[in-house]
Amino acid sequence: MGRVLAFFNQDAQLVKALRQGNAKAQRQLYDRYAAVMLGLCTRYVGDGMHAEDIMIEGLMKVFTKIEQYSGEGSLDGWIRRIMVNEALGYLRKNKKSMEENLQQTIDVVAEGYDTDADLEVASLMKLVHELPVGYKTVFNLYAIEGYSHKEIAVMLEISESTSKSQLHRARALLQKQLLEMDKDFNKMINHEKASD
Amino acid sequence: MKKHPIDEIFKDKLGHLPKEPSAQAWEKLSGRMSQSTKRRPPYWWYAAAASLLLGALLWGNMSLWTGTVAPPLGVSESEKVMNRPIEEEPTVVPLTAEGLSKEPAQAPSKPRENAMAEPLAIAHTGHNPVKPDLQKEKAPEVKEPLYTEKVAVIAKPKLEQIDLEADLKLPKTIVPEDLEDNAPANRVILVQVEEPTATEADRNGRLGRLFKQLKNVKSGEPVNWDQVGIDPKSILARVDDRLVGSENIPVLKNRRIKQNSEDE
Repeated sequence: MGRVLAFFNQDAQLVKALRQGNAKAQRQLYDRYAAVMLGLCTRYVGDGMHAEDIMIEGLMKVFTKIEQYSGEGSLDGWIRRIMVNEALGYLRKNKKSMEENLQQTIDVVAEGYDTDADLEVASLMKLVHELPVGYKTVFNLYAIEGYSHKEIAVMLEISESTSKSQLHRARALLQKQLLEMDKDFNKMINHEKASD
Repeated sequence: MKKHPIDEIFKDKLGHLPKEPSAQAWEKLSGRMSQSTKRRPPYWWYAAAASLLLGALLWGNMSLWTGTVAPPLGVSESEKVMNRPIEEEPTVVPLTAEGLSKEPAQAPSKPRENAMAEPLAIAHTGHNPVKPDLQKEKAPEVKEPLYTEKVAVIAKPKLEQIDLEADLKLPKTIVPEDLEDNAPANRVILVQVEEPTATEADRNGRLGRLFKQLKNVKSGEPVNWDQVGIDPKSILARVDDRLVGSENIPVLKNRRIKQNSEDE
């Protein structure tokens, strides 16, 4: 897939062109943000195919609602917010099936990572996806996206205390998993040294 | 506020983690975008249609208001009368002072829809004092004041004495066939149609009145200057004092000559 040259160097120019429905500007925005936004959606949903659908829906909203972007915040932040909302909407709709397909999702997440660094990232991603959906969502929103408990409470229609307790439990589970991972990692290194 | 170490680890590693979308992702997105732009309804069509409809409604409303378009009088009035329930055995109560005061109690089941409907219904039944009045050309003395007063108070309709048997070609009376067949021979249906009394000048409003007065000026008829909105005293030309009473005023001279010639 050939990349389109960056005709619109600044966000303001890009936004202006997007408002005019410029196809090249749309393609440029896609090239710039599609991969990162797909990573974000995957963190929430887990399943790569569904995550891609969410990303496409989110980008469609970006193109159609670009008039609503005031230009006060960063374009990146605005698009992220749209993607997060899309992902939360998907989770709300498919709450039951998400719980059922949890194990399948965890296995899918680890695919596509080859190098050591990638493996570390894949392991972390897998840990996130092993969390129950509620813990995972609150952890993603608070720890990675940077939303406050008040905002999370509004977004997920839960109380602030529920958000705090879910975050606390998510952290505890992740910490435990990381320690086990570290033990396994140390064992693996020791075994490799002994075999040499 | 210092971030939790677990949060930091995951944010650093996963916060901006890219994942390459599939090759078909862009085609999907562009396809959906083109679909959505195609599916977008032509709003200007809706706007044009709405404005046309609004204009037509306004025109219709204005036409009705000014009276240029009037509903068919005879048919609508007749239909109103035909749709009213017919009382088979109306009770005729002799007129007394008590009877007048207790009028609602004597006819409790009879709904009073409007002022005009009352005399129409009375005429409709054929068992009221109006009918003998028409048939025998002579009204019973006892019952007459009751209805004449009611008619006068309620709607003041012009109850004309019509010999229906002689003149069946009433233009604004419609008798349905089934009613004709089943009704007793002495049943008479009277229809009182009130035609709008507004003149053309009234209907056209101020402009019409103005034209009427101007027509009066032209034809030499008395003019109501209030309707024209002009005070003639304030606009009449002032005659020079030297000319008043003078024999040399050409207008007066001409008039005098004319009068003399007419007298002769």
